[in-house]
Amino acid sequence: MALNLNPEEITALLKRRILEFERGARVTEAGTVFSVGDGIARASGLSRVMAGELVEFEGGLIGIALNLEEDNVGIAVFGDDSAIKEGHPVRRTGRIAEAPVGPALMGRIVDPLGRAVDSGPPIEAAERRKIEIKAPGIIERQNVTEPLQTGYKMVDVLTPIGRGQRELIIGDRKTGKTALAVDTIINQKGQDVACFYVAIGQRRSAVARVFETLRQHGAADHTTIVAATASDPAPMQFLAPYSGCAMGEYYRDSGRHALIVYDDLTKHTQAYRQLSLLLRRPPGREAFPGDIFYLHSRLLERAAKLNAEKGGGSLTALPLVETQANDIAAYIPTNSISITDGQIFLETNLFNSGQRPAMNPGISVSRVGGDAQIKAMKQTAGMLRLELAQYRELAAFAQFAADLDAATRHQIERGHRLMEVMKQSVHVPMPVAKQVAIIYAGINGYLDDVPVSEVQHFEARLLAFIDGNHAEFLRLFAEKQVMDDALKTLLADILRNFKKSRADHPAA
Amino acid sequence: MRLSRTSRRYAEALCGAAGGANRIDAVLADLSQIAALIRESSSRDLTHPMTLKLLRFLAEIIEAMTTSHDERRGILKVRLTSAFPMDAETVTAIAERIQRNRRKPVAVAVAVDPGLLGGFRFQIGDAVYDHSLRGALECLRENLIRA
Repeated sequence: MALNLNPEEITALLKRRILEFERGARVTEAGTVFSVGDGIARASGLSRVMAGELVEFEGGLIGIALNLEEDNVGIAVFGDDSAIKEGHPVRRTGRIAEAPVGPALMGRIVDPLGRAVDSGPPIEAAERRKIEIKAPGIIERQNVTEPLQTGYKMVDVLTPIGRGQRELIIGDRKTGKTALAVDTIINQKGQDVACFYVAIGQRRSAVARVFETLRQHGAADHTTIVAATASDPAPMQFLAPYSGCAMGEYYRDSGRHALIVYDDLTKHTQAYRQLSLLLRRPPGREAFPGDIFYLHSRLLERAAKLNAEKGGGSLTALPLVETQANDIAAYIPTNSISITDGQIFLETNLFNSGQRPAMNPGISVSRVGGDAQIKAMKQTAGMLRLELAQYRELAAFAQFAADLDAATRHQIERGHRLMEVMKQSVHVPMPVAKQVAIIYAGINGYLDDVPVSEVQHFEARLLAFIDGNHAEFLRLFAEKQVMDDALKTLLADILRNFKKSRADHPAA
Repeated sequence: MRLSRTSRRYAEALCGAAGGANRIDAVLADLSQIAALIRESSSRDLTHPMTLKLLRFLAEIIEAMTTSHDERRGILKVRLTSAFPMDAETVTAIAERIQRNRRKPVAVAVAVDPGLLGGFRFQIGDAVYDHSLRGALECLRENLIRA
């Protein structure tokens, strides 16, 4: 709309505004800065300032009042504090930190205060929401019932995620945490789930890469990136997840669904530690302040599945936490594990041995479990979980035994193939019908005569075969969502036909 | 000026020790002379920085005592800043206006800040009442940006 205005119109508009401007006394509440440094300013006065209120320095720089003490206020500055000098006035704005919400943000990159940081026009949102609000109460919630498909066989089968769940993605650096989260966003394409990717303390190039990946896979249009990068001041990094959460809550509270990825909370705790120490709050374990647990619990509690009266909307959270040397017993990882509804644990040695996603199925859990799976997946996944558990037990045992009986060998061989089926490349999320098809093939012995090294080729060609010749299976599956006898027979027929047609042996 | 907790505590103690509002007035009259002396004396006359620090601290205590005594008597402290020096009549007029409005006696401290461009500004406690040209320009600027 503003784009259609020509310069004359703009001049006229400005002239009118200037003429209409009424000069009156401006009454503000002000204080005086008496010390500033490291992004923290202290001011005297401001006696009625609220906790978390935004304050304005000379020159328009914004800060947030975090520490309210008897005779001074500790303010975290959102920006370069070198312009603030001792003796400068600081004004109350009367506003608690808030962010714009709504559809105007889709496809955009914004900072934690909701200002556009991409090349697009300023965000014009109809609604603004407070960044820090209380999580929904007990009565307003209901159990997680609908699945949120990540598109990864391994995750959707073994640690299914439901809409409204908080699932922690935890692992060392370079284990595929971000890839898993980004692919989950890509897989929400066409699912009517608004996605939010909150980048905290990351390199700008990394954020640009995520955006590019999303754009390439057509997932940028349903995603907002909230970026507080490594070069942004600590208060911005501290606010980013709350701000992103407020944007997601807009969808949750209007009966729709949203997914939010916090990448990552380790950096968030570090930003908060920096802030707290500079504000001279007493340090505790690992120099983190005493409220470090509350910092994340109040954030993750805002992810919820609301009851029907409240519209039944949901906000699903995927927080990421980086570990050092696989130590999930460290301070921040244990905190995060205890707050969330399960964790996906990614391991470096699995990643390096070629198992991707590098999820350790033994210690990864989802406390929501089968409730977050459709019936057909539940039927198939139960069998798979059993087979894999037996495989793991036998594989460990088989290392010491020279010769094994046929049944054991068979079990191990099948386990090998099932683990092979669990492998999946990055950025190719798979719809649930196809996941069920290949897993069904695995646990019902259709892969037993396929060499382990060929399993992934077999899978690719089988799925292409279904797409090309048996689209009715996909349609029927989407309709029923239950593996009843008819569907089972159909799938078995497809598998038999496929093997007979030797489409799995391209050379022949 | 920001008053440290220590100076406020000394001031409270002094008020207590003086006892009775009249006697505090007398003490304050003496002390304000000392404060004026401290303001007038420059650091050149003193040989050691410690002495200067002590004197500044003393000045702070006197200021804290004045503030707390004014508060106790219900006197509003008004800091009036104008772009150009104001004549006594205008200051009195403004003071009377505030006095009428707040129904409290006022004590006005006057200062000049050319940065205000025009008009004046006064502060009571934390509240700033801005009648300056600069404040108006800032308001207009925000108004235009928001539109």
